Amino acid sequence: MSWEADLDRLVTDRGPALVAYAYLLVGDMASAEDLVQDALVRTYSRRRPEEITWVEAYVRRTILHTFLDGYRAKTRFAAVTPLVATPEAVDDEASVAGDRADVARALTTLSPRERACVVLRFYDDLTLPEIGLRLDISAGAVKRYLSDARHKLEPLLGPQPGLAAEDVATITKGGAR
Amino acid sequence: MNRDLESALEELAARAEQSHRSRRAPLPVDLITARARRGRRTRGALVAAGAAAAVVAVAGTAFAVLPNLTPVPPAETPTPTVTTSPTPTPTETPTPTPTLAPVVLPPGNPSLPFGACGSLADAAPAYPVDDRVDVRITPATDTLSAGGFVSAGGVIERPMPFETYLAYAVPDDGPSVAVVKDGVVVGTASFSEVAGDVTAGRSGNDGEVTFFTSLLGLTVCDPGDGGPVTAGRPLPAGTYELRPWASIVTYDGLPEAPAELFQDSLTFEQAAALGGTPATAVGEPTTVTVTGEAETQQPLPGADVPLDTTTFAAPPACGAPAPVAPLRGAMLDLQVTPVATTLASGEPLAVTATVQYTGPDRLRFYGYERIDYWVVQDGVVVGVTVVANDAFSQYDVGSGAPLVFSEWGLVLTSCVTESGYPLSTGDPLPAGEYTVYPAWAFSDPVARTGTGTVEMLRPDDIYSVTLGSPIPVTLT
Repeated sequence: MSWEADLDRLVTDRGPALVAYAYLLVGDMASAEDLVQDALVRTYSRRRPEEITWVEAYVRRTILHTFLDGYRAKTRFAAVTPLVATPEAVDDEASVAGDRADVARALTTLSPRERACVVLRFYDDLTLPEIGLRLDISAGAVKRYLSDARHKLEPLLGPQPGLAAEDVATITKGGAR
Repeated sequence: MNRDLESALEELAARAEQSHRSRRAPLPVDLITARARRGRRTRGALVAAGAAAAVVAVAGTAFAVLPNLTPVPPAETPTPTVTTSPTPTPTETPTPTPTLAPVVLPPGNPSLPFGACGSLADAAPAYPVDDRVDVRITPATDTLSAGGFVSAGGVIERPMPFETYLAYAVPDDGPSVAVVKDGVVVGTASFSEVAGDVTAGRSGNDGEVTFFTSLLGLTVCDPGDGGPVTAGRPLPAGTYELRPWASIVTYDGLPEAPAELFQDSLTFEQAAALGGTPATAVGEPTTVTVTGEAETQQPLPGADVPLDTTTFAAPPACGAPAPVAPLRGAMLDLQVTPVATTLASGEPLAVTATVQYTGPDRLRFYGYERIDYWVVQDGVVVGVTVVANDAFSQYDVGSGAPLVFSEWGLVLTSCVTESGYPLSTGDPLPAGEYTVYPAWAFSDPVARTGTGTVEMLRPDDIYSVTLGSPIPVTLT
């Protein structure tokens, strides 16, 4: 199968699921669709072998990194102040209501990396070390992001014991401290 | 109110998927295919032609092509690595001589708060201890010669795991260190040679934690009572405890530290006046042993080195010619071992690296918590390990006190340019002969001297790198 046919099949079969995943990260449908398009272009621009069967998983990772890249280009190394996400309007088209609308709005208070950590933890069901590997940051950094996310979400959503950072071994890397 | 995030996210995703299926136009697969096709053509042409644009930008005439340097391990008495004038030989252990006057240490004074010169080790500090904030120091060695230094790292931060949120303020110059002998504080040290009274706000964790390194000289402190204490004299042979501590301000109930802390340089008292509670953070003690005896404390390395603000490099671009290396951006020297290796494609290249500031006084900047690789083949950059990552931290490093990166492994991967940044594609490079340029990414370097701060030159709109000596690597 050509890469074009492979791409066509992926978009047809899994496009909506990929958009849903992107929606959790960006919080509105139009941006989610743009993000998925960009991630697909990045994925298929790289002469990837056609026989790969894990392409959807790869695209999800690319969605994640494309999402963070967008903020990274603006903020990487440039800001002294913490990354602060601009609260985005909750997309009515996702038809969220009640409790879920509360959660959707609460997620907009998170910085991009905090939001990514929350999605990886509670949607992708990854452990802290796995999140660290996925984002290429230390498990300690993951704990910090989840801790900050807890601080922001609990006033809006109530106690979030799942966001308590477990005492997992920190990946040894980085500057001596 | 308690929202279960797991089920909430699943439901949100399900609703979004259904909304996209029923109420939105399908993804434009033809447009996506066309864009990907253009990308494949562009990438093919780039690889075939090789890019000609030089990307290592060096300002002025201070292009520093440096000789290979012997790796500088953490040492109690590091040798300055760049100097234009004769320097003392700090590695020589001073020989005790009978002509040295005896060292007089401060006597214990139970009326002083902990941390003050002459205070008792078990005295209460000036402000109540708050264990929600931790102070740590990590000496690189447990022995030093009298008159020499011990290289140490230090940090003030919330201990993990974080059970509660806390906004607070800390000394901008890092932890203080009480040097204790026989239950009395006989020496005081800090991570800045002249620590000022400036506080820094802490509200979250995105780049706010500052990691310090410094060469700590252990000398007799001055209790200021006019007694016979030999203040300034190196501490004599013996075992000492190093007890880190810091005066902090906590802001319970506030969602963020007061904005004033981020807008101006406020003193401790001013920070406390913003609705805060003065407190003391204390850390676990460590023990060091001083050997020998010395009349005077050695000068810090780098003290006589002119500040070079003009040497810097931007990250080499994908497809560009190989960078000129080593290159000490912002006077940061990167040393890496091993110097050559063979490994299988897809296997991480593990190195141990040190990053050491070679200039005068101190350097503050934001840096990655990792060493990255730029990979060159046939004179062209074909790979990079950099990924999107905002997990940078602030560093404040003293001359001669290295940051150490241990056994840090990354798979050598091919390169793509995204939003103007060279990034890893995630695809392992195939078997072949390569030259790996280790680099440390950082931004906003500012030299902190005794007379003020000096901004170091840097690239426009992109971060800086300091480059180590290239490593020949064979991938099989």
